[in-house]
Amino acid sequence: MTRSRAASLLCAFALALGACACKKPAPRAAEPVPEPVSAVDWTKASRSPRTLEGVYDATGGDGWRWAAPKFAVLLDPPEKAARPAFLELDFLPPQELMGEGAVTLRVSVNGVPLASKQYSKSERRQETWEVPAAALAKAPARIEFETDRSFRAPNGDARGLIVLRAELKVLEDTQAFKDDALRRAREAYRKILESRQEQMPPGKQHGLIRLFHDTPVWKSTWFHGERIVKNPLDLWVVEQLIHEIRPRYIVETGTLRGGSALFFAQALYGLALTDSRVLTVDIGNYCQAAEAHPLWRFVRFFHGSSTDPRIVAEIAELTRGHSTLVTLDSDHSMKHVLNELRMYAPLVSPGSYIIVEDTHMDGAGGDQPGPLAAVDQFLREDAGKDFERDLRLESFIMSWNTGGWLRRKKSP
Amino acid sequence: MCANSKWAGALGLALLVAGLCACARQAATLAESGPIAEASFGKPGSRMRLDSGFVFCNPSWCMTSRVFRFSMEAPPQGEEATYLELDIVAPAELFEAHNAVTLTGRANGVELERRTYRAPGRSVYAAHIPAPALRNRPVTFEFELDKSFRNWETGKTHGLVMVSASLKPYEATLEHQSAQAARAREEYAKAAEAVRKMPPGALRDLGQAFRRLPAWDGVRFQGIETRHNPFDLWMTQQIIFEVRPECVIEIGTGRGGAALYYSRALSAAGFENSSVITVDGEDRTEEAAKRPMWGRVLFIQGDPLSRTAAERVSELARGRPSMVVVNYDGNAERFLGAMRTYAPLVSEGSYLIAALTHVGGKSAGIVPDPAARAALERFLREPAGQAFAADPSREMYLATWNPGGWLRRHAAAAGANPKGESQ
Repeated sequence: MTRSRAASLLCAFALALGACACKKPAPRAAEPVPEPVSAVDWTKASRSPRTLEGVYDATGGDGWRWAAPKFAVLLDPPEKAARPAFLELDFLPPQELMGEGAVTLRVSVNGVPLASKQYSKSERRQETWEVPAAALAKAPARIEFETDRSFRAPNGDARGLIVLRAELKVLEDTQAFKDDALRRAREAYRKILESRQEQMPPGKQHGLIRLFHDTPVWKSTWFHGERIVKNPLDLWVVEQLIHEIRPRYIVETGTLRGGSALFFAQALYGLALTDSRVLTVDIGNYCQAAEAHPLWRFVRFFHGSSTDPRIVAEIAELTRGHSTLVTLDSDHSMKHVLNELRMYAPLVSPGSYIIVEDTHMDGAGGDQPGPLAAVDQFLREDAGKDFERDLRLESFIMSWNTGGWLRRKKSP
Repeated sequence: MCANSKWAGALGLALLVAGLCACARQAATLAESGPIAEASFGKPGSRMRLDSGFVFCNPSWCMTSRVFRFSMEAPPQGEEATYLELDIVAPAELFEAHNAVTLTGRANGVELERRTYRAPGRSVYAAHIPAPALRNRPVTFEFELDKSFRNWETGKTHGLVMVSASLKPYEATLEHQSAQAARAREEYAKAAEAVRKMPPGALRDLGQAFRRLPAWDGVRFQGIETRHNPFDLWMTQQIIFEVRPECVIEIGTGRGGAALYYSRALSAAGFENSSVITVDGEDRTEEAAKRPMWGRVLFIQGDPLSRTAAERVSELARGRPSMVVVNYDGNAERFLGAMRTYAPLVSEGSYLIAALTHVGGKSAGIVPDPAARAALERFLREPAGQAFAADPSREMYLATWNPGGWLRRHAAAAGANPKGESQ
């Protein structure tokens, strides 16, 4: 009797397992071939047959390529072809082309020229062109790019731009449209914040932050099996930033037990960004236990001072040309944080952030100049001119990073 | 009776095959850069060799004989990996003629901890491997059961179902993780106790400030709206880590933001077979369904109080460790109904979260809606509710939208030990 019950128990258990698994949505059926191709991604290791000419095979760093002064791709318009299409090029005009005025980029689609653009700064851009329907009469379309200037590489190659991706898209998918939507969202948040100022004077807000900081819960905050000395509201905001920016690298100073690095790794994994990595630096090595967590395979630990030029150089080399988010949470003296800001700010990609943690300590009446004083000083310096405080990220008020959410502006 | 049970067992096994296969497939699509579990059967990256005693293998598990041997590469010396963890299922047939089955193991000839099983089911076997046993590589493991059963069709001798094997440092074992989870739980309780001792004025100020935060109108996870607040979701994530549910059941999907969050919480290690089941009368999940983590979410459209929905969910959750979140939507009667319907699915030691009962407008502090509170109290007095007790340690961050609604199901009575026992 009992045995038979045991048997049917297992049966039921298996039934549940089976049923549960089988009722998951079936994988989408394969599209019929040939599939239209509307993007070329040069950051992938394999060579795309849609690159017609002018992009060198060797990848630089991990994930970008050199293009010749003239290069061409073959792309299909996006599926919803009845609407106007937009061409987007993700690229970087290299330092070598700068210096003697702007470099001009000319583009044509099936021989129809689009507006040419000029660049006088070496920084990553996602440029968008509207493509007239007439130019897309023939599909796939041959798209040609040409720079008016080039330089010769040591191996003899003529080089123009550093390229990452070219794509034909509908309006809603373009970076320009997304940026605009974000800008409008920010505007709305700013209004909320203004009304908040009316509701609660800043002094009262500081009092509350202080009170919240003194609640006896922060030493008892855990992420999975590791301690994490952060405020879950801030971690929530960081996770939303990761969702918006989709960074290839998250750089963290101050690893401690590794709980936050694991959390960032989980946030990346939760967006299926499995190529992305967390680079985390600490002068002490306290994260051995976290290393055993399977999410640690998305983390790379650097043992040493966060302001050691060799470590910074290594991280800068890795993150070059990639979207990068930085968060500073090591030594909280003003001097150290300011040094970190100066060294790590250049790694932040336009539109992304450098987050200075624990600014609330000197903001809400701490006795030493700390992270907040460092931010104030940094924003007055030349290097800080590219950054602005993003107040919308403080809509929870109870943030440990008050005034420390710094966004790198996009070029006008 | 005997024949019947045999048939049930065989059917169970066949379904287990289907279930595990399907789950493995799903795990493979989620884990794009390789499996999280090392050395699970048939998965790429597996670093094990089956030497002898494996009767047959499927993509995700193998049936062993009474004695079985396999070898694994240990990581290079200096890197700690001194624990062997086996994910195994003891089939019901093993217990048809025997009350207890004992598993003995050796690593390179060195004897490991024995384990005795008294009931069928899935469990984790973990054993410390003494350093001398790791000197020869690869490491050969030999296991032996004192009992076995004969397959009624093929006549072959069968032992255990083995799902995965891994060599890991102690910190990665389930045992360590449960110990850490227990420490965290103790600390939550202490912190919550200390919070309650704060001056009442300060508590009221903070409560009001939280309630009035401008952020609540637009809380989004991965761009998807959710009515839960980040503290509550954070705590739920920790509960998921502690309880390790295979089914997280949510009543009241809304736009799906919270379901996505639970799914993301399950995306970490050891949850390859877990999923989120979420029920709502209205389907507003179009946007959430575009997120990669929706792959683990099963949305059921239908009235959660209807027999069809309830039966479907129970069917899916039966026999699997589960937790339940019931979201209050302003209708106390339906809230009570949902708790009554789904509370029985919560496994022992796991949680029923009666959520989103806070209301009272922006001017008041955080207070539960009176009708919802009455429903909650009534539920706790009923027989179904008496299996639960409120766990205030989950409210330590002060700002909970689930006041008094973190309900823990009492742990199992002494005696039953599904995990087997050490000797």
